[in-house]
Amino acid sequence: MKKIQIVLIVALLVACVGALGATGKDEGPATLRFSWWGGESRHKATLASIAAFQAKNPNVKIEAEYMGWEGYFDKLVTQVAGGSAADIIQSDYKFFPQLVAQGGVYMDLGKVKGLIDTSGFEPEFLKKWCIYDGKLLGLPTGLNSQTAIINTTLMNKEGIAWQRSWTWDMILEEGKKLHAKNPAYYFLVQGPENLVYQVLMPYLMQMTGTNLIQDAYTISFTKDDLAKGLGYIKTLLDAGALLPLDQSAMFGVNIPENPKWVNAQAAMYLNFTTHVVTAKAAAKDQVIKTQRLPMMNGAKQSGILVTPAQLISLNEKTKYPKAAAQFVDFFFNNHDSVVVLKMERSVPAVAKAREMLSAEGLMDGDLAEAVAMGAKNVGLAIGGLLNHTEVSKILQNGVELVGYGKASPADAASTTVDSLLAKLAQLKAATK
Amino acid sequence: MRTNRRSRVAYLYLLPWLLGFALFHAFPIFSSLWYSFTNLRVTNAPRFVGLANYVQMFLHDPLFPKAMSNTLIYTMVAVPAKVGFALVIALLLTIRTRFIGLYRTVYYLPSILGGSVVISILWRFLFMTEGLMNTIFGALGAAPVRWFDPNLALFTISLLPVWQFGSSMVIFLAGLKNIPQELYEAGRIDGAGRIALFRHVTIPLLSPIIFFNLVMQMINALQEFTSPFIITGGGPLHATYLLGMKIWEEGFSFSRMGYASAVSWTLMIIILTLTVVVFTTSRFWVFYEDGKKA
Repeated sequence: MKKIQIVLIVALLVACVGALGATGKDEGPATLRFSWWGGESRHKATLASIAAFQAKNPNVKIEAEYMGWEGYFDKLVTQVAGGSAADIIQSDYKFFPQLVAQGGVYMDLGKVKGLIDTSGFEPEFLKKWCIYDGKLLGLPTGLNSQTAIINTTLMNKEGIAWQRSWTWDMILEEGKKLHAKNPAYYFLVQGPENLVYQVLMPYLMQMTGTNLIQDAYTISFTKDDLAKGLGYIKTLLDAGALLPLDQSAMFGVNIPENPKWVNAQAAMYLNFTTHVVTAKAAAKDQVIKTQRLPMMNGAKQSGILVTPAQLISLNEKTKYPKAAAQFVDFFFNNHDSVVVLKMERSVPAVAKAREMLSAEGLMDGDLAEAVAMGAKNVGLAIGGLLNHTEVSKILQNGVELVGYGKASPADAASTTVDSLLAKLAQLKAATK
Repeated sequence: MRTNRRSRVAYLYLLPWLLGFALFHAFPIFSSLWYSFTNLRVTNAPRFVGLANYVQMFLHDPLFPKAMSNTLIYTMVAVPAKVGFALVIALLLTIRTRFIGLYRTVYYLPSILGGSVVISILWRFLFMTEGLMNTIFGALGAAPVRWFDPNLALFTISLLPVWQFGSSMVIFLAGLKNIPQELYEAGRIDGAGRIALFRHVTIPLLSPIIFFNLVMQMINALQEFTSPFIITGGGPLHATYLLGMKIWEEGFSFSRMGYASAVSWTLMIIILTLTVVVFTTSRFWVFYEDGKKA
């Protein structure tokens, strides 16, 4: 009796362990994983593109792994650490400096040269954003530019001319008037992170004519410069032109979710053109248009970024590089994919794809116009280090110090620059 | 001989749990201790750096003292509030009225909701400047409160675990049921009023349970991560930056696993120390029914 008991228990254990270790090798047909972030409509469109590819390539199965933007980067970093990142990865250009420095994440697309037709991409654009150390590490899905997203219905109602070359001073002036007329209205809505990327950075770049932080871990702006930028933000807050931070911080970068925008109590927000579609959907019966990002008089450069909307890369460690490359080629260049993806990833970066969309009447005029406006006025690309999480958090801290009234612009600028220089020194030391 | 065979069988039955414990608890815990003395980032091979992480944490990291003070303040606010609230509601729920079962269920429900995006949206909706709370305040004639201002944000997020007091409450209910009714009767015969009965019968006999809840909730509060993560992300201006957030940020946002491990172990030492302190004070106020003081 006792012996049988022991045998049964051991058999149970073996079965458990066996079940755990049942990862057989896949033979024959390829199974790929494709990870991306987006909203519902982008998910639907991407799934349609995958379905179209699978219909033409029955021996390849693609598993979709999609989620919202919040937490995507952290998840990706964790997966990279555990060696479980997807075969095809959608990245934001901001991920590249950190992940490329880490190494072993993105595959050099030169390895699958013949399989992806890259002739439709602008070589200069690729060189700027996708080529590191001579290696092509990703392909841009679309063109993203910075723009001013405007609720024209509200502006027309309040008698504010919305079609103009906006300057920072105009925003302050109109904002003051609007808020005085109706205290529930705020001209500009931005969260703290947005204030850094869409107000502070362009402001400083326009003022100094530089890209702010260089790859050599140096900065090209002074405490006084930063104090002026932070001072502008404080003036906006004091005048009631900018929504107080405690009412916008909890929505992060999702300004379309902010009740002020949804209830048409905000006139404008500055963001990347990828937001135009979401902004329109959120402010349902309002007419949303775009204008060029605000500039200052005598700006030394526009400070407007034209960036890849997203980058599609292959995982260095993928088991099926050929199949993955074939999908990527289909994704970007095939008509069936282009017409279902439409403009869910902004204006396509591939010239032929843009033509295909125009031919089928699928181009969103406002979005295309916003991107074109940005491209016409493109400024210097911000220093790659500005996209490093720890660096941008320091700037955000400076904005919050001023935004919550915890420090004067001069003091906040002083602390911020000191922290920034310390952090840059630390990052530089870590590269040795 | 028979006992030996029995022991062997017993160990075999225990083996799955022991393996799981070793693999999923002991091994990671001791690995993290080792990692705390290395410079492990996410993809490099760890290099031994001795106490460098700890030196960095205590001497050069301006956010560590902030996180620690936030965590301690949070614990001192949330734990008494949660345990106190649970006790009060549990006392109310011992009254025999109709639908008492329904009330118990309803009060218990929030504690099983955990933390999620839905909860964070709920909290935003409640505490936005034009949210439900301020609307109620307005109706009562009070001025709207800026719940997410850096001065108040820590208090606002601490309301989440307080709202989820259900599990503590259920334990109190069980404890209250175990107090012999004879003691109350004896007290009443001696002329004790409701408050006196509460002070001299309920509290002392409930003290082991209060002690248990206090210790468990304190440990949970010191490790808190979910509520700041989903509601405020540690902001504004690090007002809700708890040690749990710091560990997550260092480990997953900045990929500094070695440093994050060091912070984790420091947090564990803090929790251990405070728990020992509470255990030591329990001598003076916890009464066990067998007549011995704790």
